[in-house]
Amino acid sequence: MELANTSSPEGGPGAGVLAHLERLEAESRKKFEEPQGAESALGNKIRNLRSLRDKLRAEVNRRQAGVTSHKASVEPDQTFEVSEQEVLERKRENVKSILQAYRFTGLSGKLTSRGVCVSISTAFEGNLLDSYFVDLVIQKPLRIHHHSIPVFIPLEEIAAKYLQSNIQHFLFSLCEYLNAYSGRKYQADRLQSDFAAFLAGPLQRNSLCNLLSFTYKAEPSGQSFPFCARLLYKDITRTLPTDVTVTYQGTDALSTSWEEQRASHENLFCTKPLHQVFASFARREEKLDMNLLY
Amino acid sequence: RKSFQEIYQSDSEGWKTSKDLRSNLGNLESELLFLNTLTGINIRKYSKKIENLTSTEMTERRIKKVLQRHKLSGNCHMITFQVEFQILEFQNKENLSSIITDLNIIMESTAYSELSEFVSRAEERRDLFMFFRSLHFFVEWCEYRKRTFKHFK
Repeated sequence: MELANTSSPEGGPGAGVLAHLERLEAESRKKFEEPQGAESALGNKIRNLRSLRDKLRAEVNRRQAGVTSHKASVEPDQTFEVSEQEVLERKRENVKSILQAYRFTGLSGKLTSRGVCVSISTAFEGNLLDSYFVDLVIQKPLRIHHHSIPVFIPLEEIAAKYLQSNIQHFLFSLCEYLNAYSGRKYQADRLQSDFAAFLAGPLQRNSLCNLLSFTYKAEPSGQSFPFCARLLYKDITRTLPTDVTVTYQGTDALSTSWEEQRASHENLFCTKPLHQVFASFARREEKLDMNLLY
Repeated sequence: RKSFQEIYQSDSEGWKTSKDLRSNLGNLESELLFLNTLTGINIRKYSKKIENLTSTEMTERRIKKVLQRHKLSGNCHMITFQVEFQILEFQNKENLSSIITDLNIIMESTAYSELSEFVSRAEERRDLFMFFRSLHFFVEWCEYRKRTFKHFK
């Protein structure tokens, strides 16, 4: 069967089956304009011709594809081996980069000869902070070979609860404690570095950063009274304090407006991250300064 | 024959045979499977672009500013996700800070309305870790609920 180019139908009779089919289709389309009685019969004819045309087109494509793939496989063997290496290399690079990407889930790791070394990433409000690792030996019982978890994080307690029964739970729990610690530490560090002007003395803090004590002035330049704040984070899986006391270190009683301020500060420290509370004090200071200019 | 460690560690050397390559690839794929099981998250695609924003004036003052653009996609069981985020790295004499400056999470399944709640919260707070943790726990909870209902059928 000769296959003709369907785009140039003027090949005369015997110019190819496809061309012939197209002519038939054109004819039947003309006849379509004839009286209604013949309509359904012609409709069927058109449909049949169309499906035959499609089948033949598919056959053409298949045969053409067969020709090109035959050309490709005739390449010398040498080329084929190198491209296998290339393919493997590309795959390897791809897997390596995906492995790197796992740190963005907060939990990552590497297989070791003993078992696995898991890396825990911490962050607070979009700030990427320290990472910690736990090197586990896959044995019965599972044990921790070494780690970089700070001593004030209750690692033994968490391990005793979950390590043997559910590694995932052990790691997620550790994640919680570490992220909270990282977040509290970040807030305390930011207070010390960015808002030192508001502190009337050194910031007192413990290693776990769950007990903070400091004296501050909400308006460092103004006539405000220094307040003493004590922040206790009883729940060490959280980054906000559970107990806050703001007191006035003076002998006179506080006026109502100052008492209101003291109470509102207590509330602020309970609900907003520490450095953001001071950032709001700073913004208020700025506004006051602006008012004084006019 | 090479020991496990030799094959595993000979990362940066040139590849002598595709046999070495294949065994290393096998090890890496085991690692991937392990992380998949551990986190409950299956990352299928990842790409990153790095843009150096350090001006010559900054370089003089020993300040470096780099913007990283990350794109990753994958699934957590039946839920597929696509995450795009930007990390701004700022380094001066004292310290190095990395901050997520933009986070976009695209979830395909709108069937779970509870999901869209914590997704928008994670985007707002630029809390990438929270998104993955919550996704994992949400899927686990769904599976648990399914099993419980099956039990009572």
